[in-house]
Amino acid sequence: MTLIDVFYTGFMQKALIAGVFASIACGIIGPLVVANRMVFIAGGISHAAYGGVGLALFLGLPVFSTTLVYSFLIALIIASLTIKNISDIEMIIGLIWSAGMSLGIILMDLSPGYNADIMSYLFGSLIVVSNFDIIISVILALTVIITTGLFYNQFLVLIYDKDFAIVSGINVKLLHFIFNIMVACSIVMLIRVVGLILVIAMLTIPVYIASIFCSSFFRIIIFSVLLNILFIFSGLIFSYYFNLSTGATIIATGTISLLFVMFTRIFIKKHE
Amino acid sequence: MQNPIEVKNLWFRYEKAWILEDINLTVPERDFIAILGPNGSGKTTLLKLLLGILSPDKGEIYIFGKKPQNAFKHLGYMPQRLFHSLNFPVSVMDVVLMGKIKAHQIGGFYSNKDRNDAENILKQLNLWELRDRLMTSLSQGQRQRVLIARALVSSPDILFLDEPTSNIDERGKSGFFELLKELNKNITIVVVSHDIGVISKYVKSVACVNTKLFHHAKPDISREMLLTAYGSVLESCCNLELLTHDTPHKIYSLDKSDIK
Ligand SMILES: Nc1ncnc2c1ncn2[C@@H]1O[C@H](COP(=O)(O)OP(=O)(O)OP(=O)(O)O)[C@@H](O)[C@H]1O
Ligand SMILES: [Mg+2]
Repeated sequence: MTLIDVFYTGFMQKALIAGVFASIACGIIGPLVVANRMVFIAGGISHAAYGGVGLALFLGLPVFSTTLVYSFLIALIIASLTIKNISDIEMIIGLIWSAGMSLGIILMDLSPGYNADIMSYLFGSLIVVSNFDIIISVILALTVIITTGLFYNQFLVLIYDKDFAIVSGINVKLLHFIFNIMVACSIVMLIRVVGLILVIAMLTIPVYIASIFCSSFFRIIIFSVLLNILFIFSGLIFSYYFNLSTGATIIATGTISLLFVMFTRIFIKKHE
Repeated sequence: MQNPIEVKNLWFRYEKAWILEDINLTVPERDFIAILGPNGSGKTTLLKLLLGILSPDKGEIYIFGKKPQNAFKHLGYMPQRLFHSLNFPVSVMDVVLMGKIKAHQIGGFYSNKDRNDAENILKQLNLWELRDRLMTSLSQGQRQRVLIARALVSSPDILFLDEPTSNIDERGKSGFFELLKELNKNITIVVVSHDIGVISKYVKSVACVNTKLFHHAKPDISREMLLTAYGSVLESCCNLELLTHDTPHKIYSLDKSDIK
């Protein structure tokens, strides 16, 4: 099968489309998450989302939408905890992280008829993307683009200097909740593509590479989106040809790129 | 017209111990007030309360008769330091434009007027050459001047500055206070500073904070006032001397008994 043929394969097309929209959402949200020092929180939301997957399988509900709603709830809980600077917040996130996972696992244990594609939620998969999933992906990506576009400067001020945001009259609480919901949106979309264990890598690796080359926040966002698309496309194709786990292949592509960029930079600096 | 700042029986604590006790303060229009006090005395906390960043546990604060949260259009703020600035890719221009953010405007674009205002302020503070530099690439003093620019660009009615000159060189300091003096013709200024020597030439009143607050409406900063503010903190004695004598001089050692 040639590369062109691969793109015409039905499930591959769907996976690629879902991948593009996930790329856009997490290319926008990733830089905000990193700048806001929320990587650990994002990890908490993505792992806790496993509880949603378990719940969906246990009750026989559609997995994507159930996980989405479940993750929104988790994001709202985390948002209301993080809005005040609580000193034990790391511990609480860690708790939500592991409790969510264990809930998911127990519910799956209890589910009638063991599900073979449990692994696909952990590590991502090509074959589980339905048309309905794609429609939801498009809606989520549009929501993230529009919301970020509308409040872009406000978000920047809030992340850069929260006190100044308050003094400027920005509704810091509302933005905080909106932001957490958007993080949940992108995470659920990413789970589809790379699996929940690898979500953090997808949110951070492109941002680290982009920050090396870009001198403004806006450019970092654009560059991250493009890198995400690149990694997801090449990862999907590699995984198809070599019969490897999708998510792991995508992240491996990203990691190798990051290492390549870092070493090239060190090399160039030394020989300048 | 309401007073710019009106504080009544304000109490505040972060945890168990009261940081501010029964603070009363009235700041009239076009006052230029210095807030003095040793480290940890609650100066920044008082500023944050006045700005609505923190809320009082007891008592009331009014900014032009309104709650601080509803008075944001009047307020300009330069914080003592930034915590989140590490690795955040924003240029000097970006940061100054933040002073122009409109809280309820959707679709955040800065207008040409915003950019012109930012340009003027940057030129005024000798920062124009740095406009495209990243904040992370600047020195402490340069960063501090950018934050001053951000506070000024919103053309506030009350300007709050938390130790604006702590990293700024001597020439920059007097230049900066001359600028404040000029601004003070139209707006009220509240400044926290340890640069008592420079500041005493410019301020119209002084509030000494050390859990309690002592407000002195006249600019004659007496030894007594400073002692209530600084207690027997010996390092401050040099400043104290600088302030209470017209000719600046330095005192290298001072007996505690001397302060009595
Ligand atoms: N977020 C916080 N949580 C708990 N305690 C705090 C917090 N911020 C300040 N404090 C305490 O409140 C007191 C007053 O702090 P504040 O920052 O207002 O002092 P300051 O007068 O501005 O000092 P400095 O001259 O060092 O800037 C200090 O004892 C400090 O330890
Ligand atoms: Mg302080």
